[in-house]
Amino acid sequence: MQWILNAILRYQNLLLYLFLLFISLLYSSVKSEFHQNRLSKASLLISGTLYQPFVVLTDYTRLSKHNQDLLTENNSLKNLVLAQFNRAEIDALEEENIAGPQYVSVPAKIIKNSFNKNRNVLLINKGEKEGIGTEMGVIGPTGIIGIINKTSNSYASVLSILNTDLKINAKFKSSQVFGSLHWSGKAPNHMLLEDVSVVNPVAVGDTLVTGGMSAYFPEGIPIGTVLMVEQPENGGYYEIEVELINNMTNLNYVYVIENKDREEIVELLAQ
Amino acid sequence: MVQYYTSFFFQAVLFLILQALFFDHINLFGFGNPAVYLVLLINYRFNLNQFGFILISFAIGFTLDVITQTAGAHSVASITVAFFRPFIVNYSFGKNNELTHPLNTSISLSNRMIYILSIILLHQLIFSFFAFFSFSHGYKIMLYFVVNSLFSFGIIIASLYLFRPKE
Repeated sequence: MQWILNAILRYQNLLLYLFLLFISLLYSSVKSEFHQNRLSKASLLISGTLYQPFVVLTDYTRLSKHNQDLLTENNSLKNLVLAQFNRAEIDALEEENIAGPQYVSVPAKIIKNSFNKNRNVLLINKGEKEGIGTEMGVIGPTGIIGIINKTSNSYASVLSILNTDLKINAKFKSSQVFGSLHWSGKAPNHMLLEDVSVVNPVAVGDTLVTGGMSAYFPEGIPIGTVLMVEQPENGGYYEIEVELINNMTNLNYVYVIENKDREEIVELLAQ
Repeated sequence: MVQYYTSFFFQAVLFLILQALFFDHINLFGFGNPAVYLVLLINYRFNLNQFGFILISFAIGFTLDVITQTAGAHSVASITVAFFRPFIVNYSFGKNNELTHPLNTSISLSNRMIYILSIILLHQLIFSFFAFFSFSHGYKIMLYFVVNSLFSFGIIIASLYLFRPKE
């Protein structure tokens, strides 16, 4: 017994180091355990509270640019509404709204944005009390941003599309051909599109939008344009590089998209 | 001793706030951010218990992980530095040194630089690898490691002389 105590005392630093290493690894790897969730929520709350006043301070210096961005966005939305609907369609839309629209958006402000890591995460200032839940889609003024990962009462973290673990269902606006979009971990404005068969014609400059095959995003949200197309000699699928429409490095405001039918869709898919 | 720990605590709070709010957002070449809080681990007195030093390093690293959402990278890098620091001190200053801190003016400048650089390199190597956690990103890990190490070295040398402890 004595020699065990002596060994513990002799190697106390090594044992402490290994123990703390284990704790750190546990913190980083365990994703679904209750304690990890608690830590993530506490972590969200602390970083949210810490970054919020900092963001408020720096916001004043960028107010005119924000106003300009919002004005441009409002203008394009107004133009869309005017061009898209005639009176009969508006009446039909109002009837449809009695049952409630399928997608509802909640505006939020980004208080922490990362784009230089391998698995980038954003932090927004809206949380459970505003109805934000996990796995809701997030879009920016011009295109998609990511998917809600974790939520606390007042904040939520967003898994950015600049995250090597994430795959997004996408399609070509003109040909309606579907593919799978993911980030290679290189430039923050380039992504790769896979699973597009060479039987479909693809050209540089083609526009890519969300496919609507998942419950995260509605169909037709802009993603980007084709920058480069490579046809492998033996493979049956293109290697397509896409340039994002959104500039992921200077985001300010986003919209969280809630799909009212999501649970129903997920339940059906699980059967 | 109480006075030393009180002063160390306030320095730690200051460096953690600076790291989280300013130095983690510099993004030199799009990704380069110096680990300025390493000043705390470099400057911690040599003649104090290592067990306590490892615990303090963990507290510093873990706090930064929680604030900056880095999922354990700062904690692992910090405790590794704390654990290996006695070896680094021995080969930087010799085995029979009776030094209390690295900025002692009786030590040659080259020895001090070897000590500081060794701690930064060890920390950045662990941190860069842990941030990516994949061998398939070897080139990117090396790029982050080299740029962040050099960047950290420059800023830390300046900070160390600002926060030089009294003899």
